[in-house]
Amino acid sequence: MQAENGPLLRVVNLKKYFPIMGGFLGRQVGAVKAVDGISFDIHRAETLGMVGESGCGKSTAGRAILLLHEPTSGQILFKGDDLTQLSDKDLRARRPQMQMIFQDPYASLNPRHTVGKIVGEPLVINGMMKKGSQELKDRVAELLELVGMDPFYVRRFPHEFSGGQRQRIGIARALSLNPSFIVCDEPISALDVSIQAQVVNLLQDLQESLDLAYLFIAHDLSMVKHISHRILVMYLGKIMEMTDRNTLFEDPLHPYTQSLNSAVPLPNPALEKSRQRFILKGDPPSPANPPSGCVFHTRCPLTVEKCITVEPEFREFHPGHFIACHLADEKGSSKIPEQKILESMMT
Amino acid sequence: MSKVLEVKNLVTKFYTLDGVVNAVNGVSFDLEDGETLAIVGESGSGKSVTMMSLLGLIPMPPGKVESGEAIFYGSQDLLQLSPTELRDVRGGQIGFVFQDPISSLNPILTIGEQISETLIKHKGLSKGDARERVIELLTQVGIPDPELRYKAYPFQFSGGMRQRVVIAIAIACNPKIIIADEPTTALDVTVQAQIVELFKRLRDALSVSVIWITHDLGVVAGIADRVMVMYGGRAAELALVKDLYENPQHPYTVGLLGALPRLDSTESKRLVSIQGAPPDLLIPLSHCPFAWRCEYVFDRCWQEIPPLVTVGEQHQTSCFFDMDKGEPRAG
Repeated sequence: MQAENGPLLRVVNLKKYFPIMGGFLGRQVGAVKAVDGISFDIHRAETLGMVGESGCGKSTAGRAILLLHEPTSGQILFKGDDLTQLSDKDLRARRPQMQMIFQDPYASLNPRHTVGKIVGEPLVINGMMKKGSQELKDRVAELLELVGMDPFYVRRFPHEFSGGQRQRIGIARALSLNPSFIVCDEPISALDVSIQAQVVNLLQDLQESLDLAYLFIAHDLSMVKHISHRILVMYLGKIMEMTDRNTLFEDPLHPYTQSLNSAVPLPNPALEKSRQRFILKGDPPSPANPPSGCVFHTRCPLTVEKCITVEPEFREFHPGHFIACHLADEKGSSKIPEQKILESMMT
Repeated sequence: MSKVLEVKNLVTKFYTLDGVVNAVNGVSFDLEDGETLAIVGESGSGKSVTMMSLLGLIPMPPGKVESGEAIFYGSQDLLQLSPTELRDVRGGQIGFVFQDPISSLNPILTIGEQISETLIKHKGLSKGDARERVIELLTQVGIPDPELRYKAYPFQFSGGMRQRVVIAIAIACNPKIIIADEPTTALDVTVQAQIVELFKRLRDALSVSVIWITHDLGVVAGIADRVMVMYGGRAAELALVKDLYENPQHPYTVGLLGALPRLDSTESKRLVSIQGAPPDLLIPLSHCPFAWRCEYVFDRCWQEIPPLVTVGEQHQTSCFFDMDKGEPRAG
């Protein structure tokens, strides 16, 4: 089934709805459409960045791909096999290849376990090595060295480490089973700036040496741009635009991507002074009650009649450049005109 | 320009069960009239404690402001005021905006009541007059339908709107200074842009001085006139915003700027990371707090604490190494 040069992971029309219970009988009265039909591929040794504001469903998507949330519908093809159709046993056999690095390095490590136990546990649970064996000790030491920590620390507990070091422990744990794909769910947003760079550099080095594919979820656009090969932008559970990172920043077509780009402050005072920024109005709507048609139409400066009634198809506009916007065309109709940018800055 | 606030040699410590935390170790700075000063630093650098100390908001015990002066308008020393006198200054002449707009509002009072409270307490307005002023303020901070929103509760507002309400409270009594402690950190990037633009507009309209505390060097570039970079409870560098980004004179500032990915460049360079972690504030230092992590470190850095030295117009750094010449500084 698996074509050798096909994508490592293919997600097709993935949906995850969370039921809203209520009413007299406690029946389901609605659903939060956290992820509402997203499709993308990730290739071997590639980083796909996933950005969006809080509540856009990016973390849910990351978890649903690893089946930590059971998807409502859709396919997740990992090396050609649809994970949603596999038996528990077959799924478990594939789990070692897909791992996760969590956002909060304080909550994601068991405070009562030593570093050695945390990093070695996946190997023991998956029956690859025996508890207390020399082989296991060697492997744990090797993993700690791989993430830039002294193997001397195996007997210490998580509270003895700083946030950056804890995140390294979390990365060592994720690497213990030799995965080919890792979901990184905001792995650096809880860290200080100088430590963020250490962790990002580590992730990039590991990708190079171990051929890892990452789904890198973050809200910090500049960091996503730095680490990703391709980027997808989410809004209210849907993908708005997906393309390679330079196109996304230099020639974004979707009005939402343009607004996001414009909102990111640049660490350059001269540029910031002269810069014209498009300031998006309002806050994102609730995913429990998403707008009709295009979900972005309530905030979009270019909304036309069609946007309110018809949902735009997520289509390949140029090879490798996907977009969900009615206005995207060769004439650049989906670009926010200068007049609108100036108006947005006045209010 | 006159000085609105002059802080001299502020020292704040926390006496905890684990030992004495040296949170702020002799910080001095001025704030000019109508100026925006950004205080930048990582967690534990002492940036928030500095501000809390000035306003008597440090919980005592375990905290204690050991020494220092904070001269407000050339006369009053904020650190010498009685709690009652300080209460008049806080919220009246000095307004605040905190990081978390969810916990800085009272959930069981309406928006209107919370903003009016400030006006009634500080300005002695009647309820009716206060109401009119509140509606004016809500309009000013960009909240639509202010008449209706007056009666709304905080939970009915989104994060960005709540932060606008907090800003309305901060500017209610026409303060001389607004202290904003990470006001945009908890917000999404598009909402952050709205709040930053609102702040700039209000600052210019009300000609108020702003102290903007943050860890985000991106936001600073757009809003600040001057920047103080803090590290280990001390000022590492103090400079005009342009000089700080174009000609940083402290190895820590250089490191911080190198650690930022740049959206404004297409090539992907490896980030320059600063090795190691910030100092443990439980240990009193007799040398440069950055010495462990510094690539320019030499003997003298381990022997004494570097004082702030002037290296250019309105540009000070606390480093023994001359980055331009590539050698230790003379004297």
